[in-house]
Amino acid sequence: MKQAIRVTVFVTALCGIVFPALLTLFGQLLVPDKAEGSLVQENGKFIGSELIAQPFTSKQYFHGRPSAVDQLAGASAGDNLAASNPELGTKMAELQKQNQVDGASLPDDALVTSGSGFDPHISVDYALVQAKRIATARDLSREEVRKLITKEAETHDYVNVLRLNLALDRSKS
Amino acid sequence: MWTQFMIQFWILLVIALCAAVLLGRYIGVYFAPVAERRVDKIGKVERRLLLLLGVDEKKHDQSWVGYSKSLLLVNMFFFIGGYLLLRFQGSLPLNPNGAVNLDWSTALHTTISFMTNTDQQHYSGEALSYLSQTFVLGTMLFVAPTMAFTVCIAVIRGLANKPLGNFYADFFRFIFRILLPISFVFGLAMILLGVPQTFGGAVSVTTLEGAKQLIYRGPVAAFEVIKQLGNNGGGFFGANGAHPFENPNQFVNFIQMFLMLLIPMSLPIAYGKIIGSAKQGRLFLSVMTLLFIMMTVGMAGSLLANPTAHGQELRFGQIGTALYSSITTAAETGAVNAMHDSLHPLAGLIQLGNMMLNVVYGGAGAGFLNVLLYAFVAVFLTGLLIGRTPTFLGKKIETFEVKMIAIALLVPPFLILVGTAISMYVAPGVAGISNPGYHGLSQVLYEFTSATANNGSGFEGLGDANVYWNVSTSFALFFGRYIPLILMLAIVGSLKAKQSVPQDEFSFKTDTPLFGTVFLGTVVLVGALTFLPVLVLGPVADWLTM
Repeated sequence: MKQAIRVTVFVTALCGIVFPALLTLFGQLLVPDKAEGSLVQENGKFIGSELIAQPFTSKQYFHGRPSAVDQLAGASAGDNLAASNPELGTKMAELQKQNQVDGASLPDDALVTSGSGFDPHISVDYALVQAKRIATARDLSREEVRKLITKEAETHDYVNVLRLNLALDRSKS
Repeated sequence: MWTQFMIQFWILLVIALCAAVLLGRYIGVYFAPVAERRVDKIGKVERRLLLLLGVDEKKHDQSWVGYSKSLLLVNMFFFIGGYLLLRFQGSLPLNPNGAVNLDWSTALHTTISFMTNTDQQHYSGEALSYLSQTFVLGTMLFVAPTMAFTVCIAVIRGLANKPLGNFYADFFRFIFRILLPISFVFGLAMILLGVPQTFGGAVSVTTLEGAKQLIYRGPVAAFEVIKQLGNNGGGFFGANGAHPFENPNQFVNFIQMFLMLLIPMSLPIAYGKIIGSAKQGRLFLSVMTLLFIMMTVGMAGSLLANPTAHGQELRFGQIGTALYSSITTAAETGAVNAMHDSLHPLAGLIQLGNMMLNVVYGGAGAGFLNVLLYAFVAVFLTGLLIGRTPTFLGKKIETFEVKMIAIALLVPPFLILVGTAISMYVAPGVAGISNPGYHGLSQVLYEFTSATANNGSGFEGLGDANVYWNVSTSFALFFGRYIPLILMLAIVGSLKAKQSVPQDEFSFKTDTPLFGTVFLGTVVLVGALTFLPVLVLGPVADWLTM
């Protein structure tokens, strides 16, 4: 009994206090920005995290993927509709109708919710679909917007929406 | 797409296997019975620390009853402590986000779930204080896999006809020597790759469009690394490994998959080393790997043939999603990087299959115990076929052992099928179902399979955050975990007390490809046939009627 209590207490101290404390210490020393959540600053103010999607609705910004949660409130989840659930098709059709450009069908990631509700990326295809709207709203040429997209995408077939929108804001000034 | 999948899959498999073989040999050397163990510097430190705690490693001949009692005692302390701390987290320190006390059934379910290495969650991670996340659950992430490991290593020693060991020493040494160092290295790697590790509370930012956004953070990396290494799987956040803070990119995704496979893959090698037959260890590892490859290729088939981003994150792609969701169910981790509820029904079928077999590596310790259980069955069936007394490693398998084996084999299907049947009948059970048609049955079936197999992932649409689901799955969690553990100790205790039968050329060899085949057949027949009808009614019907 004595052994059991002592071992329990000691192991708890080691795993529950020493381990997270050490890891926090090293993390904060080596890469404080990442350890704090990859927050992005503009003019000395936090405007978001590079890893976390934020809602965009205005015409001059790229819009992110549909989300099952309120992205401003912070809790994460998917919509958990089954692939066989008829509601899924209805929702996809609605989004297609709302967001379509020139009647072309939208890429898949523009129509279905992400796993976490905070997917910070959209596919390059979806970004290109939005290029025309943004070019008009910002008085840029479509070619300029396209260049930004390819630059931000690097080798991936997806782009980070927040970084892309920041790049847009910067390119204007 | 397929070539790319194959390349990624083989790279992961080869790296994991190589690392697991090294780790397995290491475990085999340093967790051998005391008399044969090499003592290095760490060993001396361990011995001193253990003496300080009042544990004398030289008293290493606990009986199976004594070993079980010590195990249950330590579990009980963690149950009581964990339950109370979760119940009163609201008034305790390290609570920058103002989390409130958990109600009794959620606290009960969460405690049992984390202590059984399942980490099924009926709350959202955002609702816990940092004290609950790191001190309470974080400690359990180390303790829970260690419980199965200690039983596994004691059983292996018993089969080698050696003393079972000292529970307290095994418990402490596995955490101290294996889990903590590996967790530290990979935890640091995760932070470098972008996983947060901070005690700062949720931060409020002003978005580009001028709205206020609340971003939850926390000491995520410390939680994340041991959650994967120990095959726990609980999410720091509600969305688990799909959340960009838990799993920010493909590199972290890769590390997580590697960590999930590491310990389960290493145990057959450690087994081979301790019983003195590396060949037999490799045989088990090969059969498990064969099953794993078949399951994972099946998973990739279902997702690559029906590509969608629904419930998935773009940074992982179809390949990263397919690999992760196969590995997490195979190694009984239960972390998810996509919402399993929304994946193709055939993906669900593979996930359920992995969990029902529970030997496609299986969780740390628990998986290999299941492998041994099936090996006993295979020996017994072969013995019946050829009319000889079945022996395993020179010990006769007789009435008592077969009775225990039968109970251990029947408990999981009983918990899964009866639990599902009751929940499909009573009102609070049916009320939880969120998707129509056959998929609704899959949701309930998945919940009980995941609980019983101590996996912890879920078809998360299920409305399970209430008393009915908390209590009903608590039974599945508890008995699905402890009954097989204790029964395996009992079986080995009984085998150890018997005289060894001298091995001659007519003895049944358990290290040949022939036995490997019989073993595979036993796993498939005994493991799969029980569940075939319900799988047809759930995921298969769901797929056919899509």
